[in-house]
Formats: sequence, C-alpha cells, structure tokens
Amino acid sequence: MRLLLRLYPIAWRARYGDEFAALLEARPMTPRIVLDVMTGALDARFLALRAFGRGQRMINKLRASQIAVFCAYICFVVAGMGFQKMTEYDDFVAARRHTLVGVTFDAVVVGAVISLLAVLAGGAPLALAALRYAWDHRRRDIALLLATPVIALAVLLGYGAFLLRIVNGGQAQFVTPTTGPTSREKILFVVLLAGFGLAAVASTWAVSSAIRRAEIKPSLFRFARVPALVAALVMLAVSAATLLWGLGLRAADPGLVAGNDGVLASNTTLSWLGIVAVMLGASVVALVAAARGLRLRDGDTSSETTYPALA
Amino acid sequence: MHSGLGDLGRFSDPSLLILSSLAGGAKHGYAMIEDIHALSGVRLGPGTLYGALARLEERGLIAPLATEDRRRPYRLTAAGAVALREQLTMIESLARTGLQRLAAI
Repeated sequence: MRLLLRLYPIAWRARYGDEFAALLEARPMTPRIVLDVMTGALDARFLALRAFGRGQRMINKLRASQIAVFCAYICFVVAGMGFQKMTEYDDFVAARRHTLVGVTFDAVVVGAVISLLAVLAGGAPLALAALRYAWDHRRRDIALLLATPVIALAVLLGYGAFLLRIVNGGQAQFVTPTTGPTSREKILFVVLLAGFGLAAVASTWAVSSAIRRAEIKPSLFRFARVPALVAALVMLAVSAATLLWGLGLRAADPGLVAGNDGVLASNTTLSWLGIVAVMLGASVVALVAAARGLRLRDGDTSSETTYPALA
Repeated sequence: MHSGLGDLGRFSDPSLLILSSLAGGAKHGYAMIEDIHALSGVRLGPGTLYGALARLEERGLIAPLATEDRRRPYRLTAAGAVALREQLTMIESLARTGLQRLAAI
C-alpha cells in the first residue's frame, strides 16, 4: 500500500495521504482497486495537481519560511550565548564604562529580549497548536518531538550538576580552582559542550518536525509572519551592535582585545569575529526567510483547512 | 475558480454521485463509497473518489471537516448545493423529455 501511495505527488500526499491510506486500509485490496489507485495517481500527477496544488504549496512555503526563521534564531542564540559567556569576565564588564562599548552592549541585551519576545509571539501559538493536535489525535510522535527540548535541557542540567560536583569535589557551590583542570575534567567539559550543541540541533530539528507534522491553521502561520520579520530585523540590529561593541573595545582597550579571553580561552578578536559572523549569517537567513513569507499573498494562503506538511 | 460540474471530464459522474451523497450529510471516504453504492449501485474506487474530491474541493463545492481517527469527513457547501440542484434539474428535464419521446414511439 505504501508503494501505491508513493505513486502520488508529494503535495497530493501532504493533503490527502493520511485519509487516503485510512480508506485503503478499510477495504480489501483487489486488482481492480490497485488499478483504480494507479489511475488516480496518474491523474493526480498530470492533471489534478493544479486543482489543489497552489494553495497547499503556498501554505507549505509559508510554513517553511517560519521554520527557517526559527532555525536561524537558534543559531543566533547559540552565538549570543558565546558572546554572553565571553563578556561576563570582569575586564569586559569594566570596559562598559567606555560609551560605545557600554551603549552597544546594552543594545545587544535589549535586542536579545525583543527578538526572544518576537519569536515567542509568533512561535508559541504554533507550538501550542501542535501540542493540542498531538493530544487530540493521540500522536505520540509529535508529543515526543515537542518534549525533546525539555528532555534535552533536563539531561544537560543533570550532567552539569554532575560535572560541578566532580570539579568542586562534591560541593554544590562553584569553587575557584587553585590548580588548572585535570585531563579528565577537560574531557568532561568538552562532553558538556558537545552535548549542548547536540541538544540545540536535536531540539531545533524536533520542534521543526513537530510543526511540519501537525495540522495547524494557516492563520497562525500568517500571523507569525510579522513577529518573524521583527525578530529577523532585531537580530540584524544586534549583530551590528555586536560588531560595533568589538570595534569600540579595540579603540578603548587594545590590550584586552589582543588577549585570549574569548570563547574556550581562544583569541578574543577571533571569538568576537566568529560570533559576529554567525550572528550576521543567521540574521540574513532569517531576514530572507521572513521576507519570503511576507511576499506570499493572503489570497494564496487564505484556506483555513489545516493540513500537515507531509503525510 | 471554476463552478459547477460541467468541466470535470470523466470525474463529472463521480462528482454528481458524491454531491448527492453529501446532500444527505457529511461523510468520510468509506461512508461515501457505501452510500453511493446504496444510492446508485456504483462502487467508486478510492482513486476515482479522491480524484473527484480534489476537484470538488478546489471548486468550493465541498469542504473538509476536522479529521476523525485519520478519516476526514467532507460536507456540501452552499455553492455545492446550488451546483447539485442545477445538475439534477437538468437531468430531471432530460429524463422527462426522454420519457415523453419514448412514450410517443
């Protein structure tokens, strides 16, 4: 039966695949039905595609643009966490007394909050709709995908607590080490970083997949277009602020920039440039995706029928 | 957007059967096949049924409802009711004329 379904175009399966499979399962498969389904597949491929294709393709494009913005935002957040980690040292905090460094740092913080709110405004209704769909239709696969970020966070926190105890010799509070880290501690820390990266990728993929699999009203995707654009524009502004922050720091305290106070004790300048590059790249991707979503006319996506992206 | 059943080609007959079935209430695919079989003696294949459903939906003559355990019911729209009435009236007129001519033989 799966082979028969595969004869139909992807867009057709996205719209009718689930209910069509349920219908095929309800009846014994006879040679006449097989022939009828094969003829129907040919019809769908060559003739009927235009009958339903345009509206569904537009909704799929809109959904893809929102997911692209979300993925870009997660990349941006990871880079932002690197920036936050780098700038928490006392020397960087002290450097904020210089006007350009202080103003741009504040702009980064404010921008981070605004972009988070924008992503939540557009994304939370989509995630809630997917959760509701999973609950109503007993779709464990979607529920599990949506639970992935929570599970990943719990695992990371558990590992972090374990690591803290290993490094601090059983004390919950962080103790400034008097000696350098041992080889075992270095390995455990690298595992933590790798786990963080893996958790970020897995969580992003899982949430995106859940949104693709659930039947979500197109009006929610249409609503999310504006918050997505706001988030993308603010991300671009934050990237520019981060670039200016580094330039300001170079002018104010060249010695600090030349040191090795970057991410994972790397060169500060290289860390800063790397963070700016990732932020800018993510911002451009988000901006292009958000603009594509906005370019889709309401008439193309005006159907209120709710379909999954792929069967 | 197209309207009516005139340009549905080989799907015009299944479409008429589907609209007639949905005139009796919303149904999913399997229920439609059984109802149409009871109405007309014709048992539509799944491929034919969904070829017609896609066209009827695109024309706004039927509308999908929320899925129930993977099965999605469809309902007749107001435009669908108008198209069905037009088509049945035409068939009724054709049948009347044909019967009158047969009676004259």
